[in-house]
Parts: sequence; structure tokens; C-alpha cells
Amino acid sequence: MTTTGPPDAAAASGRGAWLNTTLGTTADGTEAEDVNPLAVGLSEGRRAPPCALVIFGASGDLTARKLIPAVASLSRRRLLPSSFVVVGVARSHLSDDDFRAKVTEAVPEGGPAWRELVRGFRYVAGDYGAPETMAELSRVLDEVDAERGTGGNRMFYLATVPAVFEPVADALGAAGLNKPGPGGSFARLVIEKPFGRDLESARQLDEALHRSFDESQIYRIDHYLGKETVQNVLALRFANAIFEPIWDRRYLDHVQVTVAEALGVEHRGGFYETAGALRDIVQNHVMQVLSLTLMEPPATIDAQGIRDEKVKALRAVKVMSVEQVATDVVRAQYEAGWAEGAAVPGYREEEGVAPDSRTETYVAMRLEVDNWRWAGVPIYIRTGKRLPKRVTEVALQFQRVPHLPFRAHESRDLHPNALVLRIQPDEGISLRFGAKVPGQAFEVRDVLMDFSYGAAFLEEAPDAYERLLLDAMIGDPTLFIRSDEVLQAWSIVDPILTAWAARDTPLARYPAGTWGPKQADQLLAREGRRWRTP
Amino acid sequence: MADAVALNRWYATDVRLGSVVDTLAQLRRSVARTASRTWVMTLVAVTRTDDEVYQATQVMRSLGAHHPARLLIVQTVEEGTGIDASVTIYGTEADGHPLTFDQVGLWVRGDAAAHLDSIVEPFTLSDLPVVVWYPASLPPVSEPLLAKATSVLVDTKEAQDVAGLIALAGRRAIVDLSWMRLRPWREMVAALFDPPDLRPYARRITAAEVAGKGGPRRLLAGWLASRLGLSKQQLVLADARHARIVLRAGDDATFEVGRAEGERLVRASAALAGGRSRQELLPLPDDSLVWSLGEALTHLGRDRVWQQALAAGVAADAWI
Repeated sequence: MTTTGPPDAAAASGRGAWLNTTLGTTADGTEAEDVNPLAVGLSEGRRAPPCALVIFGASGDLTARKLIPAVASLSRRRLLPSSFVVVGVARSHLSDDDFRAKVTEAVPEGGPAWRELVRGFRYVAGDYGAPETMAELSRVLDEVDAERGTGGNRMFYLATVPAVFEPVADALGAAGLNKPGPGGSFARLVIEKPFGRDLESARQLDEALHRSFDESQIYRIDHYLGKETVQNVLALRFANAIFEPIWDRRYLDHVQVTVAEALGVEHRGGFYETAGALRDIVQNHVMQVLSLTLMEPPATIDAQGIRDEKVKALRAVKVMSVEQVATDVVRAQYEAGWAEGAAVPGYREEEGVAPDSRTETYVAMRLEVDNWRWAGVPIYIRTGKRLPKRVTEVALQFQRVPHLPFRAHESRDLHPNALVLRIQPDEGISLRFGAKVPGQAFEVRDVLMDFSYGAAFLEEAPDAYERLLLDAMIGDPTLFIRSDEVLQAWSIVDPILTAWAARDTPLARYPAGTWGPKQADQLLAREGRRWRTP
Repeated sequence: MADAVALNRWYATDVRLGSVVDTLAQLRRSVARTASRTWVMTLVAVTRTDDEVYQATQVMRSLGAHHPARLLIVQTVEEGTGIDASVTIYGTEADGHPLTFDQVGLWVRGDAAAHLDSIVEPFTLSDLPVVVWYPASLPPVSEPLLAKATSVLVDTKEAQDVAGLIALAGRRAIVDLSWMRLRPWREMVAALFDPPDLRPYARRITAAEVAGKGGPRRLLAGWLASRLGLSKQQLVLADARHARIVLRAGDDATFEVGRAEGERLVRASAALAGGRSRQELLPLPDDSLVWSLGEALTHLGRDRVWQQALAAGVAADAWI
């Protein structure tokens, strides 16, 4: 790896920079000379520093739908400093005012304060990798530093197709924009998944990014990690003494991870044809949820502590052989059916999809984890489109009791205990256990103790992008994916892609609006288990 | 979020507390099967007048779903003896979940009012924080109920003598609703010094003018004095309908945050010698009681900066 860019000291420290700067105190509790004395005690230290957010792909869908509304929300919550500017970069020939008009449109409820902030936004038109684009960008950034007091802090957000990640990073490097300025300013690069198409291309992308940016300057976004309830997996596991001791092979029979989508591919047929469920969901979202579920307790809840443990957990996941892929992985595609009360077309009839497409819209698999905690506990994963409902959950299925002292008819409705972490929607936790049915007979039946986050904490939770944008500006990389995490996740997924490519792996079919093909049911049934119905 | 509606009510005069507790359990059982029962605290409002009871009831009904709590509204009455009580079970909905919370009203007459700790105790939820709120007065330092409180909510907006509160803050977590309402203003003032080139001016402020109403104005002045090391002579306070804060770094720079005339906006500006200036418009912060109480219930810990601001305000005679 070649690293020419200087490291991001705040991020490299492994702790969010905000802990020691914006909050205004040093590690020993005294106030540092260079801090703002009036900011002490405000916003729990989570205000962004002065910063220019440079969005490549500024005229695109992601910018209008997610990034700009997230910026507006941060502004509404007063988490942005007055010296904050968005600089849009895209090929479309827009003036500053055109861009400001688009941005204003993206947040119709923005009000006068939002319009006032947008008045400072700038736009640079040009080809992404072209030196002249970067020269113009550099000039504009110098101007906003002088006019708006952004202090040389730059965050480059690549809201573009992945194909331009490399040329943009190279061009930023060639223009010197990858280097933090004097006085401790920062230059950070934010990119979104997909991080490559397989292990090899992910490595190549990493090498390309590292030509201009040090790892501590790179923030890889998987928006799943920005979700409150994904972060709550950490709180549940490591803030409570009751769960962690039973979170292992001594008590668990198996684990099921479900990431189900009710929608089909919608207008993304063209993109989806090149991705499939394994690349689109399993390599990133599922692996992130899985690593948080499997990881050991970190010594500290900070960027290094958490990410080190996540990588260790992924390393323990057994890499499949070609033979195992044939028996332990099911790939399938939806056909026409009924979803949410409406007749819907099959995947091959979707816009942008080849009529003989073999792209999988569903994957189920059985994973094994080779470490002390998880040995012998199979992990079942399933994800798919056009399933009956949108749901993401992790279910820990406990072993049966060693001996049931009840007569068979008294406990026929009793199932093993299950602890379910519902990540979306209806975020919460439920515990299934047996209870006596009131009456003369001693019948035992399942009951569900249900906890809903929505009923306990009704404060408006920040949107995932809002949270992640703020973290990146603050310099807290905890919820971003480190290079070795990406590569480790690909190491698990890559053999499956290879096996599929090498063999003519059967593609099962399932009617839209069902929980997947019968082959997926058989994957569990052969070991006497079955999928939960979320 | 749906408005909370009363699902079940009960009222009785001259009651034993045991029967109120039993009634509460009975009324809860009647709605328990349809609604989740998630609680995060017991919230006790200590009131003296019917107006205070009415106001507290309205606010707590609005907040009941935001901070699912058992709500106790206690009114003390000097004359007479005995306790009257009411129990109301409210139902609402959050994210599609039916949700209930309950409210107990206790009218405590005579000597019993000196023993609120023993009156409140049977109603507190086990293992959860007990937050005691004084909507329109400051608690006497010797009030026994405070021993049961995890946090105490007060409002110094109209308060004159805060010496007792300063003493109390050394022993309990005190949250001042007035301070909560000032938080957005403090954030806006602090944000003026965020740009690296303006940061050094924060330590070179030589004079501060604070205009506004009564207590909040003086609390702001105490905050500026304590954070910026200003003396009483460097502070100028003025009565005004709308808040306005001006900070001067000699003749080098002037920083100002104030409500824009005729608009629901705040204008924040920095003007430097040599003609350089920056200005921005910000939304006018919410200053409703519901908002400030909600904020207070979210930030229940001790606040060192508030304690220093209050002490500095008193030291500067700003409270008189």
C-alpha cells in the first residue's frame, strides 16, 4: 500500500476528535487554550467543525434524496457551524444559483434559515477526473475558506457511480487537495458501497484510494451502520450483564439473520443485473449486522476497539469450499406473484432486466464460525427482494431445555426460547418464553415479551445519513467500515461468487410475496430447524 | 403521535394511599392487554395552586408519550387534613404501538404536606429514576422529598433568591428549565466563534451586553461572565422584549445574536475591524414549556456550566 497523504490525526487516534476539541476539554478535564470556551457543555460536543462539504455527483439522486436533506436536518438541529459550505461538483452545466435552487427545492420545508445557509453554497461544473475541474474546485475552496471561514477543512463525498472513485481520488491527489492544510485542518474522503465487485476489485480500489489518501482519511459508508437500532445491538450486548453470558454456543442452538425487502428492483433493474442479492446486501449490510452480533466485547466503544473486534469476528467465519457452496447456499429469483395485495411481475419481466437473467434476488446460506464462542452454532442468513414484508432482524434461537418435566400434551405449544433483535421496522427486542396457561390444567405455551424502542424513546432519531455525515465531519470513524473489514467480508462472499461462476449453479424460483424457495426451507429442515416467520 | 386520551378515571376524597395504589393497579389491568407498558421514570410535579396543577397536567399529558413515565401531580394545601386522590390512565399511540401511561393526582392537606417523601414513595416505579419537578417555585433545601429525587427540575425564570438552589446543586442533579430554553441561544453565541480565524476573539472579549427578560437575561450574563472571565463592570444588562447579546473584543470585533425585528428568526453576526463581517439567519428557538420540559427530561445529569453560570450571576449581583 502506498500512502502519500498525511494521516488524519483525529481519526487515527481511534477516538472521535470531538471528544477532545469541540467539547472544549482536554483528557485531564482542563480546558484547552485553542477551544471555544462558550461551546463547553453544549450539544454533548457533537457539533461539526467549520468545513466545506464537497459533493461529487451533486446533481444526482443520492444528493437530492439523502445528502442535502441530511445537511438541512443538521442545520435545523444547529449542529452545523456558521462556517459551513456545500460545494457541488458534477458534469451538468449549472451556475451557483442553479445549484442553490436545486438544493432549496430538495428541502421544501427548509424555511428562511435554510435559504440563508444555501446562499453560501457553490458549484463547480466539469468532468470528475479532469485536472481543470480540480483546479477550479481548488480555487473555489480557497474562496470559501476566506469568505466563510471553513478553515481549510474539506470533506469530499463521492456520491457518484463507483467507476469514478479512482479517477476522482487520483485527481484530488494530483491537485494537492488530499493534503490537510496548515494548522491541523483535515481532508477526508467519503465513499459509499459497493466497495468493489469481488475481493480482487476491492483490493484494487483500496490501492487506488490509498495512492492519494491515508486509511485514516477514508470514510466508507454503509448506511446500515448509521441506523440507531444497528448501534443498539452494541448497547444491548455490552451495556447489559444479562445477555452476554448466554450469547454463545453453551445456550444457543443457532442464529438467523433476515434482511427482507418487500419491494422488487423497481427502477434499478439495470444496476441490479450487475449486482444481485449477494453483492448488494450480503457482502455489506448482512456482514455488518453479523459482525456486530458475533463480535467479542471490545475494550472500549471507539473506532479502533469496535472495528478490531468486528474484523476478528469476520475472520472467524469459515470460508466455504466449492462443495459447501453447493449444499449450504441457495440462490433464487422471484417470479410473478402477489405482493402486498397487488399482482407484481417476475424479476425477468422488470424494466432493465434480461428475459433470461440468472441474477439472484434471494440468497440463503448456512455459515459456520470457528471460534470458542460460536463453534457448533450454525448461522443462517437470508435476504431477498419481493418477500412478504420489509424486515431486518437477528434471531438467537436457544437450545431446548435438557428435560421437559411436563406431559407431551401439556407442552405441545412450547418452542425453544428466542431472543429477537428487530432492526427495522418496528425496532425493538422480543423474548419468547414459556408460561403457564391460566386454568386447572398445567399447560405451558409460548408468550412473547416485547420491547419497542419506539415506545420507550420517542425522541426523533437522526436519519442514518445525518448521523454519518456529522460523524465524518467530526472525525469519528467508529460507524464507518475500515479497509480490512471490507476485504474480510469479501473473503467470505468471494468463494461463493467463484463457485457460482465455475458451476452451473441451479437458480431456484419463488413466487413474489413469499418467504423464498423451498430449497431454503430444506437448508434448515435437514437439521431439524426451520426459518422464523418475522 | 396521537393525542393522549383518558381511558379510565377515578377520584376519591379522604383516601388511604393503599387504596389509591390498588385502584391504580386495577385500572391498569383493564387496559394492559392492548397497550405496551414501557416506563423510563417516575415524574413528580409539586404544585401549590389549581392553576399550577392545570398547567402541569396539560404539559405532562403532552409529554407522557415522549417520556413514558408514571406521572404524579401533588398539590399541597395548608388548611385541613387528609388526602384526596385521582387516577387517570391515558392511552396514546407511538409509531403504531398503542401506549398507556398513568397519572396520579394527590391533594395533600395540612401537616402531611411536610412528609411528601412518604406520600410519593408508594407510587415510584422500582429501579427507575425519580424526577421531581417544581413548576412555579424553588424547593426548600430541607424538603425531605428531595432525598427521593434522582434529579430535580426547577425554573429560575421568575426566581429571586437562588442561594438555596446553589447549595442544593452541590448535593443533587438540578436541571433548570430556563437554562434549557437558553441552550439554543448559547449554541448560537458559541457558534460565532467556531471559525478558526474567529476562535481567538472568544478569549479577548472585553464587554458584554445582554438584553432580555428578567431571570434568563441574568442567567445568560452569568454564563458569559463565567465562561469568558468577565467582571461585573464588563457586563451591561438591559430590559427588552426580545433577547439580544452583543460581545465586543475591544475595537477589533463585535459579535451579536438577536431576534430579527418582525420575524421569527435570529440574526447572528460577526463584524471585524477592517470591514470584514459574517452574518447568518437561524430559526427562532422553541421556548414552550413542553419543549423545555422535554429537553430537561432528556438531559437529567448535573451541569457544571449551569452551576458556574448561576453562581457567577449571583456574585455579580445580577439576580437582585
